Amino acid sequence: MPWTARFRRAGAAAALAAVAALAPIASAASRPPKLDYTMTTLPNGLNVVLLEDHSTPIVHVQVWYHVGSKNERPGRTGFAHLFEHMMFKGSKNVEPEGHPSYISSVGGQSNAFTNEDATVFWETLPSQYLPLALWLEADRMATLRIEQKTFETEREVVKEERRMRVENQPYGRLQELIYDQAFTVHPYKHPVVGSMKDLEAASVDDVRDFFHTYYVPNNATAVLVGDFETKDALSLVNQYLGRVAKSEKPVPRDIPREPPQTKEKRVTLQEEWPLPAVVVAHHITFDGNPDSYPLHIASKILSDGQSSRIYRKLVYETGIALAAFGGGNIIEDPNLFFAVAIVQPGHTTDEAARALIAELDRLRNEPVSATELQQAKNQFARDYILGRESAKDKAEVLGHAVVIHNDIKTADGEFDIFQNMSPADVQRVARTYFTPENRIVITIVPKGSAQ
Amino acid sequence: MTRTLLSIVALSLTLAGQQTLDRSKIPPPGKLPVLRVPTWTKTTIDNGADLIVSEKHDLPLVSFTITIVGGADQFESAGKRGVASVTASMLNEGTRTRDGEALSNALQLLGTSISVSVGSETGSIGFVSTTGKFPQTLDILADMLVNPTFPADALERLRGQRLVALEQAKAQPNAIAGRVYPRVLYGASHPFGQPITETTVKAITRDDVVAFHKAFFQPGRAVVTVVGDVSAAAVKTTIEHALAAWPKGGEKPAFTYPSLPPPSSMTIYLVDKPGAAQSTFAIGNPGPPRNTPDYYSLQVMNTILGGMFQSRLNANIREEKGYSYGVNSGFAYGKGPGAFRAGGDIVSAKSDAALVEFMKELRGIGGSRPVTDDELSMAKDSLIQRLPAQFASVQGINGAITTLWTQTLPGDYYQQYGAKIGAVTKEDVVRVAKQYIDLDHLAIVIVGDRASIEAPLKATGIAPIVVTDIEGNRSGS
Repeated sequence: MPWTARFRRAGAAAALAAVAALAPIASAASRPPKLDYTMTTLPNGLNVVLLEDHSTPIVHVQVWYHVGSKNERPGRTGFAHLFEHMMFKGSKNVEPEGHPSYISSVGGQSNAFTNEDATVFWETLPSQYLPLALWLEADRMATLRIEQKTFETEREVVKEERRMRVENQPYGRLQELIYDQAFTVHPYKHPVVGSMKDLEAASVDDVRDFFHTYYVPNNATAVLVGDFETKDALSLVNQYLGRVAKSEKPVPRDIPREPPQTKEKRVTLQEEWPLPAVVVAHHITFDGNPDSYPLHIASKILSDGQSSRIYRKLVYETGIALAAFGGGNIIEDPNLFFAVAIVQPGHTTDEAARALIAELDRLRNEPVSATELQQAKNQFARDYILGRESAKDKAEVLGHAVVIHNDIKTADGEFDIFQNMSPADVQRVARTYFTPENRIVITIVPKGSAQ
Repeated sequence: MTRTLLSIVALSLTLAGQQTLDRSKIPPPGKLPVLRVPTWTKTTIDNGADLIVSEKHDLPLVSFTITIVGGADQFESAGKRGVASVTASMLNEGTRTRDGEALSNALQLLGTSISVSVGSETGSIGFVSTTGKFPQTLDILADMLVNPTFPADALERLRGQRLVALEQAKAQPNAIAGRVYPRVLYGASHPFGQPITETTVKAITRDDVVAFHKAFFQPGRAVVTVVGDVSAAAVKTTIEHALAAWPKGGEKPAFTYPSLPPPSSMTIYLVDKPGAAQSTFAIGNPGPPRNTPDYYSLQVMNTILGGMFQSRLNANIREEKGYSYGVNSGFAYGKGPGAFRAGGDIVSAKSDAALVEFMKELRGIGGSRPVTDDELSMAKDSLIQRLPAQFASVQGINGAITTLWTQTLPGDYYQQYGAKIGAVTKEDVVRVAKQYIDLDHLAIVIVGDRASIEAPLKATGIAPIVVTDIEGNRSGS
């Protein structure tokens, strides 16, 4: 949907990952209540999660398809996101762009987003229109219109989106460069939005194939949160989404594994950027691995905001960097922690690299202070609770638990994990992952500069 | 979407497989839920500020704000525009017992942040915290409000940042349109037409900041709004204790604005942005205040014209013609004559064609293109049905209740809203379009590549072109 659809190379800031996976600590008084959901799987393989929330007369519907950019074949990068756009181009009983039009005509909102691991479609609307939302979702799941002309138009829209968000932005290609260097075979190597060349090569046959392979009920999870009775809502889900046929073939899950890195990698690149940049990256584990929780804390202490260690040291205290930021991208398959410094004129990229590495080493060599840990926990506590406030927030938490963790209990279970975290846990994961042999140092200098 | 289709079939709640489902029929809505508007209590605290508390206990969260009636347009002088925003930022820079870093660390340990802002007609200071951290966060807020020290070095840092931002804004077409449009609508002697400039920012002294703080942040013109996991009785005591040092004083400003300059005949104000790939459009005129009795009719009219994705402007200029990623329209309601503005970013080569379409739709809503039954019902449904979502978060509820107070709306405003919108007729829509969109005197501000767009714009014959600089002053060419 061109109006608001998004792609993301998530980084630490991906709301989706952050909301679902970052579970903080709070005083006992500020513990949020558990989510009182019902989960079931329909005969056609569709997972259904229902959570009553009668605080406002609205309902939020979220349909997760477990397909993202990491399911794309070489030569067809960007396809998952392009396909997300196609899902707004009409189905058997719905005109192109009719879907958002129906939703907003009843005062609702709808949108979708694609990331590395999943594609998520959602509607928020007055609760009496729940049947409308399910009808719209079922019609496109069962009978999407796939036409050459709309496909070509939408491909242009996606190319404009790439131009706007990536190519016209200074440092817009930063993440692409990092991931391209850090990965060899895992599809995290390529960006969610894909390359212009691959977008150009995509055909309407690819669209049909993708639809029949991945947009099937046995690869989907419907999450409903809002003002309904569970029994009635389940009936409606059965009536609409329950009738979509499951796929004949199993959904492919043959994503190549990234082999472990065994020695430090250093590389220098050139870009049309005003100032040089230095990236220090490390391979880390996947979302849900026990190490992932202390890594969230480590990432926050290192690089979240202006009081983080990296910002304070490189920008505030030494002035080596004009800007410094980073984070752990903790998602379904093992990904990266990376820190970036935009080097201040008068300083060198070597200085910046050394300073970034020194901060990572410090985390390995000494435990974090009790105050730093408590700050991180308290911020998580507030984010955790705020991340469960609206129906949409709750649906994202539940959908993420089912689709990415394959364990709905993690929607509530992570609170205690964070509550019990110690400085030793943070130091342990720093020692595991922030090692020299697991490090990638990328120096990006302005094109034509002598540095 | 047709209403008839929506009411064809009664929904049968049968399980899958028991009968075939005809998906060619749009399902009708279920039972209309009762609108549940949050309830609240209203009292006054010791120092004279109003206190509104709305309890909501599903999550351990509290949204707290102090809202001040009046803003930069009431409390700044023309030569010192910007002092309100600088003062707001300075509250974070230190108190008698905590320097800026100590404030920042204390808030970080509480896992929250306190935001301060002063807009054109209101100001506010507030936060969202977990229930357990509420009293401590409130104490820090009170300290910032009552005991700020306004360190001189922080003023210079903030001044430097603002000067950089003003410099950067000169390169941004939207920012330029945002300055030129009010200037041509209101003129330089009206507060709406007086922007923050390098000159005014450089003129601000520490004494100005101290004086603004003292004059502006007064409980006599304030409402304290608390929404969330608190008890109304207990929280009043907590707040009175925390704000005990905030001295009495102040009253709501009168919001008397100078009269508007006589409107010019329709004119295109062209601001050159050499090489721009897009032209930024702002078309309109001064509008009515929020308390106009025509508010509901105007809301319906604007929803049809440009208030949502499917509205006429966007359906035409984006969806049909593809000249833009999105265009819209709206009224800036407040105590004063906030502007009506239709606009968006248009691909440069279609600036003239887009202007023709803008004018066609503005004339259309004024009567030349009749409002259909579907348009009217869709606009009304959209406006009415989006109301409940406002009450889905503690911050949303806080904003919804506080608005009633700042705009002096009745306590049952939300309960009455549906009926008021529902009563709007097609005739009302055309009447308010004619009354509030003055087709003979529209200001059309276009920021774009003059070399390529001026001649085509002129050739449309829609209005004479006046070239202005980025502040809206005539260049005389």
